[in-house]
Amino acid sequence: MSTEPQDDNQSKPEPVLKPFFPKATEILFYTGNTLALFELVKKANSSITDEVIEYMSLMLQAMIKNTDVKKYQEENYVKLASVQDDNNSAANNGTTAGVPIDQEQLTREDLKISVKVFLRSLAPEVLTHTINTVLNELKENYLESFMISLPNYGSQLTLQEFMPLWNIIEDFIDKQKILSAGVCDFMLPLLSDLYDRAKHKPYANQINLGVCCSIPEELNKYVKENNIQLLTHSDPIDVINESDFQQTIREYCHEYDALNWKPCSIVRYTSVIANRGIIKSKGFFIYAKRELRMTE
Amino acid sequence: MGLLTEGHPLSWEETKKYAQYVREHGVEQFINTYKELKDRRNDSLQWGDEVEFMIIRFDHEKKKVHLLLKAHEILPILMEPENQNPDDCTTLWRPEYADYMIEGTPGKPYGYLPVHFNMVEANMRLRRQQGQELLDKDEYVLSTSNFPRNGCPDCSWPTYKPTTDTSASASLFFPDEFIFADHPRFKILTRNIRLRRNSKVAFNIPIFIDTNTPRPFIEDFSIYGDTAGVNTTAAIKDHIYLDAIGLGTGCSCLQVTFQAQSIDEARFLYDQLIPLTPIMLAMSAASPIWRGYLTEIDCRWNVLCAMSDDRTTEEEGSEPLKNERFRIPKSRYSSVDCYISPDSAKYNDQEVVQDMNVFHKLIENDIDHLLAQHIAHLFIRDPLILFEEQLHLDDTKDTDLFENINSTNWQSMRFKPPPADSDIGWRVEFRPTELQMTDFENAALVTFIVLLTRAILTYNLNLLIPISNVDENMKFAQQRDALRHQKFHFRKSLATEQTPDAPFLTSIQKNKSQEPEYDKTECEHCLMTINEIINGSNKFVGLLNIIQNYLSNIDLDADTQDTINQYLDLISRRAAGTLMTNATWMRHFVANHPVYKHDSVVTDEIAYDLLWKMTKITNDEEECPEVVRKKPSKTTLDVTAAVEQDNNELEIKQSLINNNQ
Repeated sequence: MSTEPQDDNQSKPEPVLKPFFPKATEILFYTGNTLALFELVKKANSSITDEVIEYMSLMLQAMIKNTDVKKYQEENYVKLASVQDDNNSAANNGTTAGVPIDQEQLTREDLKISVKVFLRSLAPEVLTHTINTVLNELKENYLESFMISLPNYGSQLTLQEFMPLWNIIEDFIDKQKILSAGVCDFMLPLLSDLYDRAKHKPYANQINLGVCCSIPEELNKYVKENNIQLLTHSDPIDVINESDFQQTIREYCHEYDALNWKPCSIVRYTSVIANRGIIKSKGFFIYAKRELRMTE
Repeated sequence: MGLLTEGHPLSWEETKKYAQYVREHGVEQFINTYKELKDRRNDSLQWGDEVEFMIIRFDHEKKKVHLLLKAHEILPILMEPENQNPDDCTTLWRPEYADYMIEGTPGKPYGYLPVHFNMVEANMRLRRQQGQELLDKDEYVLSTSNFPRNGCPDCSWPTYKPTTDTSASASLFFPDEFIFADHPRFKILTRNIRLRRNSKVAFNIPIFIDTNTPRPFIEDFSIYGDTAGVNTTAAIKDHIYLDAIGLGTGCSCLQVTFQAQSIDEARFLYDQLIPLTPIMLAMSAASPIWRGYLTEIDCRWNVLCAMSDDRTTEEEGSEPLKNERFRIPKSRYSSVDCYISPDSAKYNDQEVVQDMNVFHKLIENDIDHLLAQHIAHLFIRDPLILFEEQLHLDDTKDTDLFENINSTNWQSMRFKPPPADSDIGWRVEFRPTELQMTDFENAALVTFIVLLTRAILTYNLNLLIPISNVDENMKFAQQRDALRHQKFHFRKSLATEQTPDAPFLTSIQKNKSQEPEYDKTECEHCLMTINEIINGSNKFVGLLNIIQNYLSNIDLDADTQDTINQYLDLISRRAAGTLMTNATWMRHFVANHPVYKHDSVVTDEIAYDLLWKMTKITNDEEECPEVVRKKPSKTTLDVTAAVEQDNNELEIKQSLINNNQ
């Protein structure tokens, strides 16, 4: 869709003269339910990176078109969210095909919410902030499944570095905000070290079958013995880097709007009607921070 | 094949007398079922497959292969576990029309856990093994849609000669002894279809003209004992003549049944799967050889339609309507004639023959037009078989008479109301798929269909095209090598207007409608190749991409992911033409056989070699890289870990909810 020339013309009606959020040091993109966008995101095998950039672009365009240019001028924390999450619960939850909306009898019990966070910072407060943001924006008391993924650290990550993060997750489990948590791309011995140290054991380890064509026999044995689910994913090592993130903003906003941003966490969540295998909603959170040197 | 009621069957004359009675009470039973169960909600998805295996016997010395008439011996043994412990079987068995057929299903339906997709093949393999264990040397269980020399002399073991003047079918080719005799249903059906239409069933399949095929091709039936020359009128030149119900109903299919959450979801899924019936037929084509000849068709479907056709000449339209109630364009075995969801009305562009009394009765009982039309259409048919015990039932509790009519309408989809006194919900049966020679392929086709339904429900898709176009597609699908050479009507854009409106999208959507090319009256569908439909193109998303999209949002364990990947890879390559359908491969096998004379004749020896090769491929003793390319899949019956995990999660959630209250 973004390759069609018409859309590019319409998204850049005139050059942007002033930055939209000159004082922002934190920015959150929250897409809301993206299943509605199915028709548009129909490229074969679009990766999560493509999706994230796609949704960021759409949200920036919508912001420019629909928002008063003064809205974010003074803001330190800019939140771009789809309007629907506030009032349209039908859109949020979607209607199930073939079911008249007044007969939709879904309760929270029927749903399974799974969250995967791609952390680009080991700072514990980033993880805490991210989990709280997800719970607040989704307006949920708990999440069934929480997976944590760390780019590039996967192979070099030490348990020392990882435990503070896992401890935060364990806190949320203690508070029954997260029911089960797992890790991504952990090999042995990191997985077994974690398993031995952790108070709440990881329930699953997600690996990328495309990268790791066959599962190492040792790992297979270990997970079976310790009742850890071996799940699969096809996500890249790093979802979005600084340059792509900034470039995306740059395309629609003023150059000052794009400066210095470092994406800290990207979250993908899905809500599935568990016992029917139907996905009700799917969305993303993209959270970034930057430092600004104020020039007068 | 439908109800296996026990009891005392009535004669045809008596059955005929009760036709109206059956209809009236059948409708009554449906109305009661509907009223009682229309609000029923089933919490979870359940589904299952049915495989109709064939049993065959090889004579390696004489290089001959036979249909082995042994089902009556082995079925009681296969069904024993169910008699002992009905709730705890891994497989279930039923007889089918012919004594060379055994129908197997999984013991318990599959459910919603992704890991269930990893069980399908293992269960199919188990069924095959269970059958195989009961056979003797040189006897094998085979899965394929049609036995190539069925109806040829001495094609069975033991061998029998058809007796045209005394048999139920009066066929030149198909002896009564082929029919499964331990249940009266099948012989009675055979006899009654013939009596009702007052003639034998007949069908002519165009022969495949090869370089040495005699022109014109005219069969000499005297070798079949056709002394009366009866069949010179029914047979046509350049065609293969079939005259027995069993030559159709003795074919095997692969069926999938889903339980829907509600009647609305069942109706929705029923409709959405209709446009897929011709696509799956083309993808699974496995029947190019009939009565020992290569033909111009690759599928069994139209043969079955003709061989189960009980219409009289008046109903068919070759004589003016005098004694019959309706002119009926199609056999009771045929592709569906109408969509059944309220939103689908505009796609029903063909006249649907209905019993208007039934229609009005249903409307009076608050059943909506589309569903009433569907039932009224099914009920134009007479009962073909009736048991004394079915006559005096309680319409508020029993459903036998409704099922009598519903289950003898053999259509490409079947809408199945909940049976009396059970926990089972509203179901939908997908029926057109041809049976493949390996468990791997059959599992792949089944998995593909089930995943597609999940994706359709997730993304609120709409696949509907006018029903007349679906019928056209059914014709295209059965032609020789349709998969690679035909184009099919298919909907261009599958997203619906009902997908939730994302306001930050409206700017995009508005722009789209301002585009000069956007034309509301533009045709919603166009002609596409199977490759485009399945794999997509720059104009169409492709069904596999939709499925991949869906799968990327589901937690799949590594083994299941691996298995599903292999299945989807098969579907993709077959659709692209880089792997052959079973039918194409069989044609190649015959064409390249040293003994083949390029006269379209598949001799005993060629058939023997073909089926022996298929047997070895099925049992993993030989490869068939033209059709199936795979490494051993991770399919397994053991899903206890995943089930436990799921149960644990539910328990935790339950306690969480209870604690918060």
